[in-house]
Amino acid sequence: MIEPAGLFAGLAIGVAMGALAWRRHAEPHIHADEAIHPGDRQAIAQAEARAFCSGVPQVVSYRQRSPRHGWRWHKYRAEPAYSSNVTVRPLVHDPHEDWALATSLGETGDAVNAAKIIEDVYGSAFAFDAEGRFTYATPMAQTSLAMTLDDFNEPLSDAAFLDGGDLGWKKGVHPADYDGASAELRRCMRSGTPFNYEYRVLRATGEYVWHRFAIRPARADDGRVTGWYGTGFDVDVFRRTDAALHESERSLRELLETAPALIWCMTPSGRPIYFSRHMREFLGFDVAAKDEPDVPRLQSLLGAIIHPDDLDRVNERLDHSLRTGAPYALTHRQRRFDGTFRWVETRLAAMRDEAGEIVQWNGVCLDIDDQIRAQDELRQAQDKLAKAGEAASLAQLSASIAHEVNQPLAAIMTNAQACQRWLAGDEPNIARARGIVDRIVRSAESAADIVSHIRALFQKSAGPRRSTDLGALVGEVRDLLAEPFAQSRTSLDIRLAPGLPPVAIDAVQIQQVFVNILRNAIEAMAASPEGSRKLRLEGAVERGRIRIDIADTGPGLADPDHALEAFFTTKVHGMGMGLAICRSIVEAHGGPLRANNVEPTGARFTFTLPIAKGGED
Amino acid sequence: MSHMPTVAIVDDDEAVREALGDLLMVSGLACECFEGAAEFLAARRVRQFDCLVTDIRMPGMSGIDLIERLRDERAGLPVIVLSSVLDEATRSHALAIGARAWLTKPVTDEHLLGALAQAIASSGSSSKR
Repeated sequence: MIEPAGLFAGLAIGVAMGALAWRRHAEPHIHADEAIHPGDRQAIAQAEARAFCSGVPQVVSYRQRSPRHGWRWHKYRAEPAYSSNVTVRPLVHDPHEDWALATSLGETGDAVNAAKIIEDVYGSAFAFDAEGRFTYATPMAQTSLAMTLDDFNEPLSDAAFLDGGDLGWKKGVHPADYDGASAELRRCMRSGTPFNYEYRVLRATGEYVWHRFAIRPARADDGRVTGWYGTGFDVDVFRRTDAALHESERSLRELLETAPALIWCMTPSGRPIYFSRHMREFLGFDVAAKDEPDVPRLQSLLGAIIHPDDLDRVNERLDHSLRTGAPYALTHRQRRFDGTFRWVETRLAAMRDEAGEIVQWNGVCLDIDDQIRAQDELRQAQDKLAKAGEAASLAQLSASIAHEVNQPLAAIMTNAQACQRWLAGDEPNIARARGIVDRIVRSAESAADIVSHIRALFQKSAGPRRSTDLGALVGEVRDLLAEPFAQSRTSLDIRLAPGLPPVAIDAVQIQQVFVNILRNAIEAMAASPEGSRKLRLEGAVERGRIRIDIADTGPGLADPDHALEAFFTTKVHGMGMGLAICRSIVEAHGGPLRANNVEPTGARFTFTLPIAKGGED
Repeated sequence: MSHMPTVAIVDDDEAVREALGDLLMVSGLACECFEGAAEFLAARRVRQFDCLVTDIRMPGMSGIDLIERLRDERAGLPVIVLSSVLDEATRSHALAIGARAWLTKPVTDEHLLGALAQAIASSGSSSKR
């Protein structure tokens, strides 16, 4: 009796029986084997095997030749329910098979029968008795190994095989594999369990080739093992492919481990499962080190390594990515093994299968602390330079104001002192003194004039108005501010209505207005998230003038009504003069400068400019 | 003949010129005012001055140019600068090229008259030699 142990045996026997059953069942439908297309015979055999294994009927198409119509497609239905008592060819002692079949099969008749069924399907099989003596082996197998049954069974030591002795087939096994293979076979034979093992077999050609062996016991009715049957497959190509795969996987892993970046992976639900070596070295621990009971690993991990000021942002963005599958990129501070926080740039992307389902999140973390510090230093140096420039122009301005005011003041002082002298003597010269007092009044008036003139300078411009192309002007402004825009990662969206007529302006002053408002907006958005720093500049004709709107996406103005007044500033550094000067200039061009807040967030500055004469057509 | 010292005043601001003229007059000095360096140089060809009080920042020829010109001509005329300019570099340059004193506007009469007296005294002693 044959015991189908495990899937392999089931399939093997199934296929074997299918092949046999085929001959039996096919008779009523199919008159001759030649009538079935050779390419479809295997499909039918496999359908039989599947039906046997699964217990479910299998239907396949095959081609059959009919004398009148040639090849035609037919359906074949393989039924699972047929007798398990299969009649096999009787064992015949064919004279020319002597060397394949032992003279005495002993109890191994069933095992040899099974081996021959397997041989039908797989082309190669063998059987041996309960002590390990071979009673059958496919002639082909013996030829390719250059060993006969006698060679297999030749005792190499006094002890029996089961007691640790070796038989001749040892010579056909790679020395490095033999001990493992023979020990496993002894174990299986003692316990009556199936043997599945891979080892290298010495071919007659002198090369060792990997084989996978599957050996099953055949039992008597009382369950006693009467013999063993099995087969071996050449798995050399598979092993070599497998080894190559292992090697490529190993080298990929090595790449991950040694790549000069901090790499980690998370499950689709966001559970970190892998830290690369650099990541472990940076953090000083491995992926599970911060696990806490009842807390998701990601949370305990982020809490341990992300700077408290960045934690909310990181959580928010990670959450967004995990929910939507969108890639994640963020610059934040991360705690190193030594407790210091370093600026890192973290990027995370979903790895998807063919169906588009996320199978893993892969992340890279780059330590950019040194770059950030260098950038900061550069920015500070630039700020200092800008402040110095501002201070220098302020000094110039105040020097010229001082000079202007000083002239009448000097005259007043000298006059007053001369007057004192005219009045001091025994005979005061009242007439001269009176004349001087008149001049003092005139000088004081002229000082007052100068002061109001300076005021007017801030309010009104007397610069020449020239016909100017607004697009070109805005382009110059964008070039001027290219550096701060790039540095702050702020985008500027310029939308000028097509065919705008030229404007009549003092180009230098209006350029100053644009620069001031845009610079102000860039600074206002410094605290906004990096991707959201957007500026929009729009220009269109409105009621005979050109209306300009400049809107940012910053926090908006705390007090829009007073934002344009001189010396009003919410900035820590700054004179609060920028927007006030803008207003003076814009008003000098005949229109107000307005500031208001917009939804959902941001500030908007609006002003109008006069259209140049002849530019309106 | 007892010579009454004559002071030349160069300043583009009329109010300042008038005030200085009056102060010098009441202090017993003769003076002549010019609204620019060019006018003063023209007058100097026909008249003699004992001292020059000049502003620095003026349209046309500046006070510094004027002092340099006088130095180049080896005029020997003592020069007092009276200006609102606070620039230290300009001040030291003016003193280096021969200005006797640098006074900042507004100036007290004591300072100005003291500087004038010194300048005229030195000028007188040098002319005697």
